[in-house]
Amino acid sequence: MDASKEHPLALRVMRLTKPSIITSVPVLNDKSDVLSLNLGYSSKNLTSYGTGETLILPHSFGNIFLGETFVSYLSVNNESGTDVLNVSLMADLQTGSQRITLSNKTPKESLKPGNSLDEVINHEVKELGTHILVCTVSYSRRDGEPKNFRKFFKFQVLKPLDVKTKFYNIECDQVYLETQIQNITPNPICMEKVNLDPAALYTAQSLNTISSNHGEFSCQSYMKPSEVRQYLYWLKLKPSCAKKAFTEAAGVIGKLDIVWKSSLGERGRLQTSQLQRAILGQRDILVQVNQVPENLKVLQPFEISCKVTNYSEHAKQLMVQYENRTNLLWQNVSGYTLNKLPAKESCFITMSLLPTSVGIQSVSGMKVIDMELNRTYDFDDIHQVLVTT
Amino acid sequence: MELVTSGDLRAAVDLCGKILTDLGQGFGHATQPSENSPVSLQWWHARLSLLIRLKLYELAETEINQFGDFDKADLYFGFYPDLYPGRRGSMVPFSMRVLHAQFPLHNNKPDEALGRLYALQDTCEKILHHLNCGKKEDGLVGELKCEDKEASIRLWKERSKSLFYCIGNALLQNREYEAAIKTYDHILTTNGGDAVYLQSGIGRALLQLGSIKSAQHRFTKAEQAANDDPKYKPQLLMNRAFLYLGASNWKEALVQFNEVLKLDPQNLEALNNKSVCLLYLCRLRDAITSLETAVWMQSKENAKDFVKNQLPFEGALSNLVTLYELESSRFMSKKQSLLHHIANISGDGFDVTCLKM
Repeated sequence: MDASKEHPLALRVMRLTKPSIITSVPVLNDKSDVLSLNLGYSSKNLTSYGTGETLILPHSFGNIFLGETFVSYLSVNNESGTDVLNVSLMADLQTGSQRITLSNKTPKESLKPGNSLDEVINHEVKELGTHILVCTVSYSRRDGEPKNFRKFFKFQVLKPLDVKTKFYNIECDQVYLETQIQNITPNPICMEKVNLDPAALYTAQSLNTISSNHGEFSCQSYMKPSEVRQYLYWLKLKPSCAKKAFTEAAGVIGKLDIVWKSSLGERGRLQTSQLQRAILGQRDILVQVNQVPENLKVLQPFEISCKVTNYSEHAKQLMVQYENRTNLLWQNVSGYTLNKLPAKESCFITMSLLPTSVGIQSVSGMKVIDMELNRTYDFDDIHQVLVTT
Repeated sequence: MELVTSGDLRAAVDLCGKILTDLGQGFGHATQPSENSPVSLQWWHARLSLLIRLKLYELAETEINQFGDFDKADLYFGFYPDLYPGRRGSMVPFSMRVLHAQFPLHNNKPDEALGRLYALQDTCEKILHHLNCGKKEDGLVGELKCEDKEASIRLWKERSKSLFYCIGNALLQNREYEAAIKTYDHILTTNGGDAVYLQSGIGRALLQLGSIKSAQHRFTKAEQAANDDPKYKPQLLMNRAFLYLGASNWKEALVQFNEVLKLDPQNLEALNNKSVCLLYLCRLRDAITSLETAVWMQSKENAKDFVKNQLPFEGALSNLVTLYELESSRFMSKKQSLLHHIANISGDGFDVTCLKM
């Protein structure tokens, strides 16, 4: 107000969130009633239906959330009776850490009375906390003296989602990532995309699609306030990167990329920082099951193939031993030596097993002995098989 | 009725009050022996509908509560054997029950409203079941004339449909989108009639939620249901425009709203929505012009239809006022001329709060 008295120009700012659609609770009446028409409906095409076709402009500033786009209408109006010269408008956004220029229009040579200099500014907010929109209006007085005034608009950027992650290490080269995303805005939101962009060492597979196809809510795409949705991803170390399994690089999993829409398609996007998992304790020798036949029958021997990898820095002389612990009994020789295994190399061994009982059985009791260091590595529960009659 | 169509809702409320007093009801009659009749209840219902429409919820609540849950003895024909010999059943108009059921929505108690609405729906279905089994509405054995039976089935099917709309609207207000849409889908499968408008409406509700793909899906269904009938053309163009809005493509949305206006230059919604697009496209002046067209085209001559457009009109006005406030500090005088215009054309049921005076 004070500015408008001193200056011939007035600046007004309106935040443009998406408009809303008019709604009402229509009062429905029977044709035989004294008052025989429906009242208070919002659309004359379908008077019983509550959502109309009229768009309503936002009345207040509203909430703004991280990842949304801040859009505002800026209007500099000449409220004096004479032309104002060299009018320019500059808009900056001051955040906690930086100052961003949103608009810096070339000055308008002359602004007639009642005319305005208008601009719509757009900015995707990437920081939480206090933001200040600083608008500077400059112009020249009739005697040529440059003048300017400023207006400040302060607002808070809030957090829209709460993201929790959990890792499940399966083998040294596989990990499951469980993510819980909670809607902490006061409105329902629609998840449009929740992707895991894996780090260079990994390939990721999303386990969140339901194949059944029954209409628009098959994937439960909308979340009410404070609802939590769970997402699961299966990450595998790329075979070419297997040697880095125990290095620090393997601790970096990737980033979650989340895109959501709320009221009338208001878009928000968040990317998490790089997700880190604890690196597995360094192990020199690793055994991974490579191949197992299907349809196993009780008391019928089968063979499984395993991959033995030497993750240490030196070549190793290894010996394999078996010990019966479960209902899968080892057959053939109970201990033998392998050829010398160079550092970071693998070899394959085949073992024969006899299931003595039905059900889910675990392969256990394998030992690999480093003959030079005289160290024993135990491999229990390395695989589960289903045995039938 | 004329008072209502011209928008003079307050006068209509008073008239209902007077008629009720003439019928020996209402003010000062609370403790006297009641003399309800189907006529008096009709006027009560009209009065309550209007009170709710005028958002006079407290008054409406006091008056509606006097009827309890519509199960008092004096609300039955059987209570007045001299007046209605041989008639059975309740005198309460069905729509009054619906009104009562919906009422908690205005008090922000959607669960209570839903409970009552589902109970009514249950009754509706029982009656339809009785009729279909060749019994009377109340389940008693008896023969109805064939045409009476058909008329009755038609009536109750219509009522059941209205109830489903009420349930859907209540669910939507409670942000139970999934359940609401299931309810609307039920209306579509049982009596398709309004498919184009209803599918479009569902699409808009989904758009408001932010579910763009599902909205698109619904708009496609509306298009299929329209089957190239030119009467639906404006609705389909509107849908297309709304979909562009969802993608923040104001420019294309504007094109579509202009297409609607080519077919129907007086379309209030299209003029209003066009103005909203113009604002987002940094064209405040044009936005104001579009809305002023919309507001000033409502004149005394077409005041008869005022009630039909009242809510969209109030919405357009509130948008115009928002734009005036953005435009210049002299918005007060512009608001006053608006108020003057409205006083000329609208009845006393107009909600002046939309002018933010």
